[in-house]
Amino acid sequence: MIGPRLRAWLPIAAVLAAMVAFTPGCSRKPPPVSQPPNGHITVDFVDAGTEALAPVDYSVDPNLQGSQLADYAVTQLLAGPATGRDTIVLFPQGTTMDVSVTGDTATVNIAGPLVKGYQGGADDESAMFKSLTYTLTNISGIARVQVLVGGEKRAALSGGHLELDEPLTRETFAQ
Amino acid sequence: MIRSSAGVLCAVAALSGLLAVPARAAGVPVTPTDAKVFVAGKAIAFERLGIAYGDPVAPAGDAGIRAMLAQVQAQINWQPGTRFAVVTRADGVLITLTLGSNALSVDGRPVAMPFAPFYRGADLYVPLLPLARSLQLGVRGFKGGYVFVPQVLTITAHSDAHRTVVSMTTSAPAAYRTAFDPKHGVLSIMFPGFGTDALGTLPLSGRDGTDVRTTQDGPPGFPTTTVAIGVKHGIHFAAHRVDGALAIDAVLARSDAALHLDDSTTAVGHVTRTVQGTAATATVAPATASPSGAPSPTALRTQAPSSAAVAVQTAHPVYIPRPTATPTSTPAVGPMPTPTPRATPTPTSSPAVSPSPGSSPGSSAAEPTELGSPSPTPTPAEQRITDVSVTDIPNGGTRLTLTLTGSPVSFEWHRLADPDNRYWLDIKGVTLTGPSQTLTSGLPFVKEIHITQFQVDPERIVRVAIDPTQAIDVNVGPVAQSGNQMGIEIERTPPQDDAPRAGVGTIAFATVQATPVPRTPTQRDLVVIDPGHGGNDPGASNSAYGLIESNLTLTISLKLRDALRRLGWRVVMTRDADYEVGDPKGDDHQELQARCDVANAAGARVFVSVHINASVAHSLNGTTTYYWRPADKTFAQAVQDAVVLADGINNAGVKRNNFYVIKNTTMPAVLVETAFLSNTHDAELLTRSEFLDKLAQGIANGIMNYTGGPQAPL
Repeated sequence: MIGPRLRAWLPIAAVLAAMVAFTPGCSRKPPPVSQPPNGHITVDFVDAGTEALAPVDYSVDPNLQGSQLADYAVTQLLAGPATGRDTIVLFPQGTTMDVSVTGDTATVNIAGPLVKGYQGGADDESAMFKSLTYTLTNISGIARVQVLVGGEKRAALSGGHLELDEPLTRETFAQ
Repeated sequence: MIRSSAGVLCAVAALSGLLAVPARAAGVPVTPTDAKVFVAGKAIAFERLGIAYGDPVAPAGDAGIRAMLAQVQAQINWQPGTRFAVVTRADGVLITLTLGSNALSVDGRPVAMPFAPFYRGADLYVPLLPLARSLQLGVRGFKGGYVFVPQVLTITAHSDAHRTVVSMTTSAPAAYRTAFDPKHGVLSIMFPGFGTDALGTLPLSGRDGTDVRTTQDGPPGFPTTTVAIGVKHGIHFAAHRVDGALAIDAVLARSDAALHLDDSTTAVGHVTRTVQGTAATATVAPATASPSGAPSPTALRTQAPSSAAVAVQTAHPVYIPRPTATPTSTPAVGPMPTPTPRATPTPTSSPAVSPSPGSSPGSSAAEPTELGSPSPTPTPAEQRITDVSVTDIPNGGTRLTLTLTGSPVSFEWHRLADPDNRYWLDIKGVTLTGPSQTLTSGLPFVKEIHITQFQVDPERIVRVAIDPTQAIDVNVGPVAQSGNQMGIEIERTPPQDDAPRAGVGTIAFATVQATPVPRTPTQRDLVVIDPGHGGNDPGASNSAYGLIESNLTLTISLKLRDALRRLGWRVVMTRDADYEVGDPKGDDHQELQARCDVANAAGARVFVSVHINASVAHSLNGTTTYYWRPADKTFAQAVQDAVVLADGINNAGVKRNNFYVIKNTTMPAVLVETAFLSNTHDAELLTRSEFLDKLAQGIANGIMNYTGGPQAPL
């Protein structure tokens, strides 16, 4: 998507962004993303219909931090659990996600079939994003999940129901 | 919007006035002045214009006051010896000025003034600037006096299944002109002598038009506001003067019949023009509309209709003087779909003033320089650039994206002639966060781009300087789908030889949610029904039973509409056939926001979105009703109870969820997932018309139980 000629620009933009973040007077520091306790993370799958959490623990390299840790968690979420798959809601096959963590926000760029559209029910859609939000916010330091679809912030999936242009939090799914 | 900003101005003025000048009823020093006053381009002759506490004042009985008010079809009533002067505005709103009171009353609401009206001899002197602001006039000072400019106050759009209506309201009767550019499909409505704060682009969500671009050019004392409406191919259009000549509606529709305003709109006056045929081939005779009985300001006579009235508006001329309103007011614009609006080219050697021969309000005011309002004017809030990024754009160009902390921001651009070709853009009132940047481009035709804090005093200016190797074209505008980004697009297409070399512009961001359409007062007998999905979005489906969600939601919704009408409700549907409510090519923001716009603009008492559920878990079945705002839970429960009672299927309960259409509508709103088409039992029922009847009747009963039924309009 970004041509070779822009590669020289991007580090400059990144440096600028970094300078923006750490300009004197801008005292807000991102909370530290801690290592997973005991080398475990929890992926919260969600049951269809009841929207109850179905947590599954995974072992993880204790050296992983921040975006790498979030990426690992999302990979497990997309892969799904080994058992009980009939009653939980998974992202459609072919979905991929890139995760980056800035401050307390994980930005998840969704690629795959959902970019074109979503043709499922509202309950299932809600369950998918609830599982994503809960899984990422299980990682210490992450409180919010900003979803991008095909690299863009969107109001909703095409054919979807859930508002996605603002960060999702656990409160979003609170009853 | 204008009112609130004027209120802030007045409040600030009042504060400083109160601190500096105690209100005194007598002995106020009035210094005679020969300052000029122009209203709507006409020089006003006062008998006893004076300055008190630094601001212009005149006796309530002065011929100048009467002439000033007549220019905007207002009048004053004051009897010698009385404590009150009452001004009746063209829209019927009463403005009351009271002896010794530091607040004037506008339609019963107090608006602070720097000082109170006072008697001097037998005359009740009133302050002119607060009076002008309460008349919704823009107030400008210039070297020799004051200019009061009528305003295009609001520009809003509303689309339904049949038509798109772009509504413009003005603070004084407008002798507007219309022009249609068949090449580009642009219907322009020009308001000579009118300024506006509603600059920018408003995307149109319906099938009839693309967007509405509002620009202003000409000298600050006699600007022309142009509302350019992009009309899609084959669409018919007409402009109507409505509501006592203070509003103009442009109607776009697929059929002539739908061009006419329905009974809900009071159409007063005459149809200016109705053009038959397709938007791409229609030809238009130049026409000038003049409201019957409206004053014809002298300056307008020079704007005779001519071929200029049908000039092709390929570029949108932008001359934007410093906004008279406070920067906290949000212009009624939405983000532009792409950063195409050009930073445009007002040919002028002096960017501050764009001379417009024949339209100056008078010789002495031919070039009103911007001295600012003589009354205290808040300094615009300073914005910061917090990020810079670069992306590809089609045609081999690149886009520099600046993330800003807010808007509006004004800018000025210059380019040097070939072969130098350097281009720079000065963004005013803006601080660059971080050090200056030099971006080394890989583009073959751009050597470097510098971004620097060019100036700090007296005004902070960030300069973006582009050093190309050939002539380039640069477009500036807000970035789509972003609430706060300014895009600078660099393309290798050289501008034409005679293209302007400098220009100015303003960018104002407003998210679609912020001001898509104004909220209409609640119509107590109106329900808006939103049949979920439609057009290129079928929703969920069950091929085994031949069920498609978008068809089912429409069928149920039409049945619901009929049921509600039988109960005495008025009903507005977001769609009544199989189509997208928003722009079919637009993103989902427009589609779902368009549905919210319908309800918000209609002033619905309640909003119901009808859906069919589906799940990967095929055993799931039954009815669920969703709400978002805690206050809507009661409504959701009422609908859920009534639907479950009627349909007899599983009660899957009431749930809270952040679904877009129930979050972004401004009235009690629910989304009903009536049944699961992925469940064999529910799917079989959904194939039966009598089951769909039950669902519709159930929802209608729920609305009745929650609202108590339709109520007569207030």
